[in-house]
Parts: sequence; structure tokens; C-alpha cells
Amino acid sequence: MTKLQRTLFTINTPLGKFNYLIANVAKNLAGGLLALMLGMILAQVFFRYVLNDSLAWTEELAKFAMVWVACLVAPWAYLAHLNVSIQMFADALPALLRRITELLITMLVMVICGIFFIQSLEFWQTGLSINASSVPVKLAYFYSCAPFAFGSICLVGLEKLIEQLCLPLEHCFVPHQDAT
Amino acid sequence: MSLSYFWVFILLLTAGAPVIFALLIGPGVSLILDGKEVFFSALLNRLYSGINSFPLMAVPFFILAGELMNQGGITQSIVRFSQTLIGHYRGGLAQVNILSSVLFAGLSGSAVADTSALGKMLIPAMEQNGYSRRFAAAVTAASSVIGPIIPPSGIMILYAFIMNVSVAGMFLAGIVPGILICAGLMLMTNYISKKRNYPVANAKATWHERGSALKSSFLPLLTPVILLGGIVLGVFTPTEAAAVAAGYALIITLFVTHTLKFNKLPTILVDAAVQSGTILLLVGSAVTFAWIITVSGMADTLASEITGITDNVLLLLLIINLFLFAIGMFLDAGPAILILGPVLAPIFISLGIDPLHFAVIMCVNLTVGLATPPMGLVLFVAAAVSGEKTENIALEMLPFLAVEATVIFLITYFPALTMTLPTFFGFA
Repeated sequence: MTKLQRTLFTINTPLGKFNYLIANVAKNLAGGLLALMLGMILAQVFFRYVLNDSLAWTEELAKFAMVWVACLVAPWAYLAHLNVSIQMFADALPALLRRITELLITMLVMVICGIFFIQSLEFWQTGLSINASSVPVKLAYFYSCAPFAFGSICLVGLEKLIEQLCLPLEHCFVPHQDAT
Repeated sequence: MSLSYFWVFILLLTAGAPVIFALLIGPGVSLILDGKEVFFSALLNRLYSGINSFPLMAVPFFILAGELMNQGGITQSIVRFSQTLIGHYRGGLAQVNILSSVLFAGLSGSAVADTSALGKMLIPAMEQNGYSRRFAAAVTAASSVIGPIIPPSGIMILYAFIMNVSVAGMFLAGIVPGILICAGLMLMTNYISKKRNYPVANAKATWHERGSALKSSFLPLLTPVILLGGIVLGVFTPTEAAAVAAGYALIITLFVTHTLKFNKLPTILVDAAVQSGTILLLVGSAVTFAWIITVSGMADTLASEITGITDNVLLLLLIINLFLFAIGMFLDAGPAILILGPVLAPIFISLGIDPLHFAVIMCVNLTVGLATPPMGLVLFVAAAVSGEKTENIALEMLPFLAVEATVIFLITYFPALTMTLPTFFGFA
């Protein structure tokens, strides 16, 4: 292992721990939000049919919660290889070519998520001055899920990139701790 | 706008990039190459609004309902009930496997959940009863494709969302194809069982035994009735029905059957959230990609190319059957529907095919692809659950795949098979 590789690994260990912590906490929060969504929609049905009084805020808040669930799960899904992909052709490639392909894909993921991260910050700023239509809460609270998702994917991408640069060819990327 | 995004997407997909990123990178690269970076904000808006949808919320609730039923041990009571009904026929356990898949389909709507839950229980039991392991795994995998065809169905909700088709109409349209596949698989199993002299599972159950088995599985089996009844009668929206199904599953597993412990709930919620989140992100990316396809004019180009092949609609449908079957071999049904639905459906609708009819053709076609090699997800799960090699299961599945292909052709060329129920209830 070269000095550069050792240095990169030194950086990657705390980064890996940080990513794991963030992704793990986020996915647990997503579970809580899913329960909240269920509670809101069931309350909507209950109020409409039993109390004859429709709730105006449940649908909008449940939708925002759902977007948050998707964004909170994003780093875990990327870290634990849960996103659907076709590996058949990649598996057939020679080890070196496969590693180069993986590196290029990771870099492209980081670039596109980096661009979306910057865009999502602007998106978040637009929400600072607008309230949600059913509750007096700034939309920025709901929009902030987008920078979280893209930012955390970029960090996981960086961890993967370092792993792919440093690990011997026969090793595939192994998520930190027991992410799978 | 240039079509470079499409080739970048295909390249990334074949190189093994996660579909969700391939769907975003393709248009992103195209925007950069065309010097239209200003449209990145529009892409982000599409991505966000693609997820921020009330009808789409049915997906996480159905996933949660399926997880609750699965973890709540409902599988055992369903298998026991099926066994009392048809376990005394030749190849009884194989028949029980198929019938259980149909009953389970009304609860989970997922082929993978079906294979995993029923496979863990029935494959070892079938092996002990003298069936070959590969046959047991093949029956489990083949019958599990009924899961997303009989309502509720995750992929049908995705299709309905992306193509603006009635969810209730799609659910109703899926019932007959699901029953046809079940009947076809049972006939084929009966033929194979007689040929290989597979045993009966048990002596013919008495009506008392059947009644007792029904009693323990009655409440879970009511789920599809509540769901479909609620949606068709206009009591709930599909999203509310999905939430009610999840709430119902929670109540019966926690308080009625007592098969679920409170301490298991956090794990179930997190698992369901992770599954839902990955699907929702994929939906958002697919909506973005579909928008680019429309804006770039690719949909029109493709439409004229496809209709240029022949003006015979029946022949075009055959071509699309084969194309979707091939796609299903490589790509999961959900992403395939999200990517191809907006491209293919408008072409066939413009040729006079009913939107619901085409929706069901597409969903059934791609679902059967889940059980076909080389990339059939259900096949992999069956292999993992049984410990049998994927290629052995695939070989054993050929007669069952022939049955499923026949049903696909039947529903393609006899629209009445899918359209009668939705038309009767006023959804077509």
C-alpha cells in the first residue's frame, strides 16, 4: 500500500463512521415519520367518517413527511447498495476495467448530486419566505430534505471513491460496519 | 434538446450504475453538453414534485401493510387454510403453494415478499414430502408473480400514478389475469405431479377443519375485501385504503391474533421506510426522466418509429409483448414501468388500445419477467431461500413460464378478460 493510499484510508475511517452514523439515524427517523404519516391519514379518515369534520392539514403534512422519508433513506440506500441496478454486464468485465467503471460511476454520482445539492440550497431559500398552505410553517423546513439527501449522498460517494481508489482490485466496496 | 441523455442513460445502466442515478445523470449530462445548465432547477423541481404526491403515498402504506402481515405470522394461517381446501389433491403441497400465493397476493402485493414468506415455509415442507427442491423452488417463484397482479399491487399504483390511470380500475383489471395464471399453474402442477407421482399433502379435510382454518385466517383475508370494497364503493381514496389496510394489519396482528410483539414494530417501520424511500426516489427520478423524454421530442420520434414498423395493431402488440418480456429479464418491474410507461403507453393509446388494457398488459408482462433468468429478482430470492442453484430453478420453471406467457397473450388479444370488471364497476 502506497503512502497516498494509507493517507486516504486515514481520512476514510472517520468519514465512514460519520456516514454510517448519519445514514443510520436518518433511516430510523424515516421509520418514525412513516408511523406519523400513517397516523395522519388514519386520523383524516376517522375525522371525516366518524366525527364528520374533515381535517385540512393532514394531506399536506403527510405528503411532506413522505418526501422527508425518501430523502432520509437516500444515504442509507446508497451506502448499503439498495438501489436497483443491473450488474450482469459489469460482472463480466475484467477486474481493472470494472474498477475503472465503478470509479467513473461514483464520480458522476458525486458530480450530479453536487449540482443538485447547490440547486437544492436555492430551492430551500425560496421556501424561507413562503408558508405551507394548510399550516403556518415555512416551506423551507420541508424543502431542507433535498440538500440533506444530496449532501449526504455526496459524502457517501466520497467514501466509496476513496475505497475504490485504495482497495486491491479483488475487493469490491464494502459498506462501513453492517450496513447491508 | 439532443438525445445524448438517452445514450448516457443506457450506457450507465449497462455499466451497473444504480437506475436512480442513471435516470438523473443522463439528463444532467445532456443539459451540460447542450449548454442548458439553467434547466437543472427545473429537473430538481420535477424530482421533488414527482415524490410529493398524495396518490403515491399508497406505496409506503401497502409496503407497511405487507411487512406487518408478513412479520405478524399471517403466512402460517393462510397456508393452513389452503391445505384444508386443496391439500388432498395429487401434488397437494405444490397446489397449496399456488393457492397461498393468491391469498397472500391480496395482502402484500409483492412477488418478492410472497417468495420469501411462502418459500421459507413451503419449500422445506415440500422437500420432506418427496418433491425435488428445484421443483418446490420453481413452483414458489412461478406462483409468486401473482402477487403484483391480484390487488393490491405496488407496480399498478406506480403505473397509475405515472400515467394518470385509475388505481381502482387497474386493481379490478388485474383480478382475472391473476386468476387465469393461478388456474394455469394449478393445471400444469397437476400434470407434472401425476407424471412424477408427487404425493397428496393430507387426507381430505372435513368441513369442520376447514371452518376452523378459515377462522384463524379470516380477518387477514378480509384485507383485500376492505381495500377493494372501500375503493370501488368510493368510501376511501386508494391512499386512504392503503393506510386503512396498514392500520387494520397492525390491529389484527397486535391485538387479535397476538402474533406480533410491540418491540418488533420499530424494525418493521424502519424496514418499510427504507423499502418505500428507495422506491419513492426512483419514482422521482423516473418522473424527471419522463419529462425530459417529452421535452426532447423523443416520445414522438419513438412513436413514429414503432408505428412505422407495421400498421397492424395486433402485430405491434405481439412485438411489445416480446419486448417487455425481454426487458423484464433484465430490469425490475417497478423501474421498467416508470421508464417505459410514459414512452410506450401513449403510442398504443393513440392506436386505439384502452389505457387500462395496455396498463395491465404491461404490468403482467413485466411481472412475469421477475421470474425469468438471467436477472429475475424472484428467481434469486427463491434460490436464496431454497439453497438451490438459480439455473436449476430456471430450467424447472420453463413449463410454468409457458403457462404465464399464454396468459399474457390471452389478455393481450382478448381485452374482455381484463376490461369486463372495470367496465362493470364504471372505471373504464
